[in-house]
Formats: sequence, C-alpha cells, structure tokens
Amino acid sequence: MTWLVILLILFFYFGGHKFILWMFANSTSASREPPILSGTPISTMQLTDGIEPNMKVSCKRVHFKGPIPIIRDTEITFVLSAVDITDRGARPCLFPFDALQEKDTLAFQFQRRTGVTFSPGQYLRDWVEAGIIFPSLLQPPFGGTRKIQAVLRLIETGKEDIIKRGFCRDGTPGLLWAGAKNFEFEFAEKGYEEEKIHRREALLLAIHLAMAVSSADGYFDEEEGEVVQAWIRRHVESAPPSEREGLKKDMNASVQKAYQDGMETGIQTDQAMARLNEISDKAAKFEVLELCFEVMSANDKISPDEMNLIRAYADLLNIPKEEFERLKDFHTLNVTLAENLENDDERLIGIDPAWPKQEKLVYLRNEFKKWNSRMATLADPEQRKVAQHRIDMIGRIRQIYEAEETS
Amino acid sequence: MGQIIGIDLGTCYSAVASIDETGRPQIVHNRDGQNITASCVDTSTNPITVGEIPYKEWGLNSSVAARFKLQMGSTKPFQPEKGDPKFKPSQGSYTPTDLSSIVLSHLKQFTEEKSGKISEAVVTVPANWGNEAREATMSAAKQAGLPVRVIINEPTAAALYYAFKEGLADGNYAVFDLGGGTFDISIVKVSGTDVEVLGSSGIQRLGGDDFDKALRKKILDKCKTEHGKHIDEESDEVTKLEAEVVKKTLSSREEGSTKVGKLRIVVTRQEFESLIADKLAQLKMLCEGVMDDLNMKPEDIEAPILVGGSTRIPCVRNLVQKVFKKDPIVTANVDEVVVLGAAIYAARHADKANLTPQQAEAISRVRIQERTGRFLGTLSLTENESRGGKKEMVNSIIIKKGEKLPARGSRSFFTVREGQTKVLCRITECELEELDPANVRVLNEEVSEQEFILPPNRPAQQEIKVTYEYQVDQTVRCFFEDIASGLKKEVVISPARKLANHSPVNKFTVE
Repeated sequence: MTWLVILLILFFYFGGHKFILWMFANSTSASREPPILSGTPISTMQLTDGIEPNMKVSCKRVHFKGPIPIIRDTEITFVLSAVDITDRGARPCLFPFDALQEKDTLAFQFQRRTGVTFSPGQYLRDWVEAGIIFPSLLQPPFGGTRKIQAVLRLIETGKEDIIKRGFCRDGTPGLLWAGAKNFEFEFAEKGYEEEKIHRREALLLAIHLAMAVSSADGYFDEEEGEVVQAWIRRHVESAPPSEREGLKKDMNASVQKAYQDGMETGIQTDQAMARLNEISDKAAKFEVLELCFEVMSANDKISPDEMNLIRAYADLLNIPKEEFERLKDFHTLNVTLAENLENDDERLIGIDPAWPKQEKLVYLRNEFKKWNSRMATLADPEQRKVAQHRIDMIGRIRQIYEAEETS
Repeated sequence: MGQIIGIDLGTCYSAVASIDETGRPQIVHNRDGQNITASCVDTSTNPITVGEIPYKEWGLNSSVAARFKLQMGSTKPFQPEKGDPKFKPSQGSYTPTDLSSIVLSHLKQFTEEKSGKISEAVVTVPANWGNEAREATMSAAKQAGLPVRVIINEPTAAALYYAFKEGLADGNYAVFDLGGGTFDISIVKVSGTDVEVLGSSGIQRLGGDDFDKALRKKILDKCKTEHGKHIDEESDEVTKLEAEVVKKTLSSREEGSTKVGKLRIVVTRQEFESLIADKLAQLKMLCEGVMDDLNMKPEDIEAPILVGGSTRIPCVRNLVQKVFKKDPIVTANVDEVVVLGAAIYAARHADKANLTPQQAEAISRVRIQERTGRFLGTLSLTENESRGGKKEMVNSIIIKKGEKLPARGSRSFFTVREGQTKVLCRITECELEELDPANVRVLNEEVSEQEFILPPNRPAQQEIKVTYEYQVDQTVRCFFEDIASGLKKEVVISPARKLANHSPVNKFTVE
C-alpha cells in the first residue's frame, strides 16, 4: 500500500506526463534510464576535500544531486560562492584571479554550465561535481581561523549576474535552488578588511615618519608642509566618499601630533617603524619612502640628516639597496645637495661614515660610474647640472680619501 | 688618386693626418706650418676665420666661439657653458654642428691646397659619446663637404697608431686620453697590428680646459688675497689663454707666473695640483672602474699609453703611474697619435681602388675589433617584484655594452591589451644597465614613424620579437616582429642616418 502511495505522489509531483528521468554521468551529458527511486528525492549538496590535479593545491569539491526545481524547460548553471560567516553578518570571500571572480566584483565565484536544457521533473540521480573552492587562495575579511560557507546555487543560464558579492535574495528570478555547507580554514594571509585597516594605519604612520624627516634638519619647512598637505589631499580624494571625512580628520590629527612632538620632545620613530613593518606590504613601504623623499627634496635642498634618516627607514623596512638607490636618484635628480660642511659630503652622497674604507671606495666608484654615465644620457640641462654637481662632489670626497691615505 | 686623411676634431685643437704613398701616416701642417689648429671660430670676419688668431681673441671678442665640441648633438644655437667667455655672433646663430663644420671645412681647405682632393676621411670622436653627438659629427663633416663614411673612437685610433707604427709588444694596454675637454680610457688588446678594444669609458666634461679655468680662478683669488685687488670673474683682465700659459709653464717648472696689470701673480705647481686634485680623483675612479668591469688588475695591463695634450701635466703622469703601477708609454707626440691613427683607419676603410699597391700592402696588416659602447634597449611595461608587483615602464636591454661588433640581441615582449593595434618602437641607449627610463636616452624620439601597426581584433599577450643588430660601422638595425602575423618593422639608427635627409648648407664662407 505504501509503495502504491509513493508511486502516486511521484506521479503527480513530476506531472505524470514526464515519467522518464534523466541521469547524468557528468555535468554536461545526460542519459535516459528508467527511474530507480528510493524515498522522496530532495535537492542536496555535499562538500569533500580533494587535491586539484593540475594546480596541485588542496580544494573543496562541491557536488549536487537531486531534482532540478523548474516548471518549464530551462538550461541551468551551477554557481558556487564562498562567504565568511565567522562574525556577525556574513561577508564575501575574494579571489585573486579573474577566472574565478564574479563578473563585476572581486568576490569568488565558480560557474559550471551544464549545457543541458532540463525539463520539469528531471533530476540528477548521482552526485555531480558542481564546483571547486580553493580555500588557500580565498581572501576572507580577516586572517586566522575562519568559518567559511560554500554556497551552491542553481541558476537559470544567462542570469548568473543576480549573485552580487556572493549573495542573492530568495525569490530572485533566475535563482532555482540554493544550498550551503560550512568548513573552517586557517588563513595565513591578511584579510581584506584587515588590509584596509592596516592601509589606513600605514597612511597615518607615513605622515608621522615624513614629519620626522621634515624636522630632521631642525625645523618644519613650509614647502615640506605643502608636500605633506598635497599627499593627504591626494589620498582623501581617492578614498570612497563615505570615508573621506574620517580619513581627513585622522590624517590631520597625525600631522598635528607629530608637529607637537617635534616642537616639544622630538618625533620618535622607533615604534612607528616597528608597526609599519608589522602591518605593511612592500608597496606600502615604498609609498612611505616616496613620501619621505618628496618631503626631503621639497625645498630643493637636501640636508645630510634628512638623507640619513631616510636611509635608516629604508634599512629598517628591508628595502633592497638598489631600490633605495633608485628612489634616491629619482627624487634627488632635480635637487641641489646642500653643501654645509665638508664632512657632510659623505652622508649627502649616501655613504655611512661608519662603513669600512673599502666599502666607501667601492660605493663611491659606483656612484661616480652612475652619474658620469647619466651625463651622457640626460637631455634636460638642469638635470645635467645636478649630475655634474654630484660628480664634482664625488671627486671631492675621493680626493679627501686620497689625502687621508697619503697622510 | 685622392687623399686619404684622418681628422682629430678636438675640443681645443684639431689636426689632420694623411697617408703617404708608402702607406705611412703623416701630419698635414696648417697654413701657419703648425701641426695642430685651434678649434676656434671668429664669426665676425668675412670670410670667417678659424685657428690661432681667433683663439687669441677668445674671451676678448664675443664673436669668437670655442669649446663647442662639448655640445655636439645639441640642435640649439651654441651657448657657452658657465665660466666660458660669452659668444654673441654679429649675425645669425650657429649650432655646435655648424661651428664644427666650419672648423672641418677649414681643415679640408688647407689639406686640399697642399695635397690635392680628399677621397676618404675619418673623423675621431670621444669613446663615450652617444649616438646624437656621433650623428652631429657626421653631419658636420658632410656640411663641410668631407667624404666621411665612418668615424672612430679617439683612444682606438691612438691604439691603432701605436700598434701599427710603434711596434708594441703583445698584451693589454690602457689608452689614457686626456684632451682639452674630454677624457677617455680604453683597455685594448694588441697582438701584432691587431687591436681589439676590450672596454672603454669616458668623462664628457673633463680636460685641460677645466684646469685652465681653475687656474684662472686661482689667479683672480690671489689678486685679491695677496694684493687686495678684486677682479670680477666676468672681466677679461685675466684671460683663459694667460692661465693656459701658466699651466704649460708648470709642466716643466715648479712655478709659473702671469702679469695682471702691474701685478705679478705666481702660482706654484703644488698649488695647481691641489686645485685639480678632485678632477684627478675622477680620472682615477674611471680607470679603476674600467678595470673592474673587465675583471682586470693593474698587473694585467702591459703599460698605459698617454694620449692628449693634458697628459703632459706631471701630476697626471704620476696618477697614471700610480693607477696602473707602471711607467706610461709616450714614444709619440701626445697631440698627434689620435689623428695619425685616424688616417690609418681611413686607409683601412678606403676603396682599394684609391690605394697605391704599397698603401694597400701596408694597411692590409691592420685589424681592429671594436665593441659596443652602449647598452641598447627598448621600453616595456614590467611588474616590479621588489616593489610589490607594481607595474612600471622599464628599460629592457637588448644588446649589452662591451659586446664584440657585429653584435646581435633578441628579446620577446607581449602586447598588453585585447585589441591592441600598435606598439611604439622606442630604442634606448645608456652607458650603465639602467632600468629607469628617466635615465636613458630614446634614440628615435624625434622620428615620427615609430609606431608599429598590428592587426586588429586580437587578444592580449601577442608576442612581439625585438631584434637589434649592431654593425661594425656603428649602425644599429632594429626589427620589431609580430610573430603571429609575421609583420615586421625596421628602424635604423646610424651615425650617418641624418645624411640622407641632409640638404647641403653652405651658408658659411671660410677664408
């Protein structure tokens, strides 16, 4: 009797006239087979661990089976998203490569088109792979152990765009079915929210450090101030409108604090450097150095103390020597090195007086080679003048070394 | 048969040498019977005068121009550098190329007066000159009506002369060439009469003229400190020529003096040497740098060879001895070795039909192997790993400096955008391996047809193969090839490139 009832229910559920079901060996092909039914079929997904054979990275495979809930012939696409549900309010996980991103956002999305037009009543009897997630490549809002939800959706092909940043409201036209499975993962890298917070903090630290460069020669120069001002304006203007006011306020506060420190006790940079190292990537570190160089060369004069401080920053930030030299050359090409005391020539040119003599000689020779060769290629007369000035200064320093040797 | 000559177009002095019937190089004396002619032009006379008389007027007469060689390659009217006497021609304006052309024209005239028509000429240039200055030199020669097909680096010419005429023992030699305005150092390998250049470098703005300036300033300072007489630096009360006389005296005596009005100003050799010590330090660093680049030590050098008038200065000779730890070779006149070598090179390049059998026999022994004097590259967009993957334009080297000529280099680049239909064929040169485009010179910047048009509707990442061929005559042929379509664009960079478009300008009359 029960057997008969089930058959009857199924008959009506599938509309009676479509009693033949499709079975799919994979996502793109289908074969007709007589129905083999056990209980009421429901659409479901599963999550299994695996290794992607081509990329050799661990992955989570998502499979689907069950009926396709449609009321007319429809071609379907599996769309897989990943959202972070660790904290209150789920947030999307981002992905670094275009191939697995939503069309208009950086959010992770894996699409698999079946290429098959299903009819109402059809279902997938066996597990069909619907998508893959590479957890190690995902970027959640924060690093560390996070709870991630894999969300699989069956979408009417062509309407995949209804999913925005991993989300789609129930009842949205085109959304046929949605299921979710959770997993935990330890993320070694920073999350995007974390990055954003750190980026903002790095901007404030950059101002602090640049103010220290500005005051290195004993006073805050007006032109140096203008450079900091312009830099702040640039960053505020490029921030999203909703964040501009707050950012401006924080940046101005950072300027005021450093200024006050400079006037009273002197600007301490140790903690700022340590924090910057902790939270910044290479690009952010370069940005700090670039701002410092801009400040240093703002009044068309460079003091040895300013140069020394920036060199110390570069060392602490682990900026490669050649990159530091590139930055230094770029920012000082139009600037006359201040000629204060003969002893300062060394520091102005970038030599640490504590270096051993041989190291100084090699550095000097390389600097000479560099500027002498630029004399042959620089076309701008002003830049040539600067290059010649640099060559003359190098000659003077070498002459002093020679005299020391003789004496 | 026409004359085969070499010309040393110097900053302060120029000279001409020809090949005699037997194939030996010899100096062509000027109208005053001198071996060398001042590279000085008086534009106020009609016809324009060149040589010693204008040189004596330099600093007193603003129509006289000198030291224009240092600005060769500039297309702007010649303006002397700070510290040099002003130049204000009474009529029109003169580019450095125009003024060089006037000097070359003068040299051509007196040479042809003495020996007949010139059939082949070679002009020398400093080793570290870039393409523009070389092009300008070729242009000046053409303007002067000289049949110049190739140019030669000054130290190479000197080495050639020594190998050919002075019979050097086989080995490596350092050619130390300190002239009036420029300094060059070349390390050459000599085997019999074969000369192979191993490496070169130079300083564009360092020579005897800088020493004269320093000396003149010292004389002015002494007027003030010893006699309380202030003389403005702009004043012509003490000329550079007078300073030069003191300098020459100091090469043979411990003291030199000059009269300033009724005052006698004495400068000691020690004072002079301390005046130029920082310049000497530069020379030293450059010599050390060239040896470093070649992984050589002083003991790898057989001997240094002195070339150029400023090597007569005792402290310069001491410096050479100290750097190379050997006494320098000076068996020929330091003012003449470059031009004599240039004449030999001219004969080497002359049509065999223009040589007598003896000349052909003598010259056939000469072999020369030059190297690329510059890094040649192109500009491309590249991700800088050490800057966090930031994309930036960089100079990508195709042919390295120091490669034997002819040299060839090839690299592949890729289009950036989908549907990209053109690429800019930019050819760069630099003396060090510079990545930053700010520090390189784009050789074909002024050439309008530098775009390479590609087929439309293609995805990004289309391979463009860039191949450079650096030939013995210093012409660089650059090919940009689109691999998928087979389309190709060729750009030629050559010292003689401008000659094709050159319309003979003969607006100058020389006496």
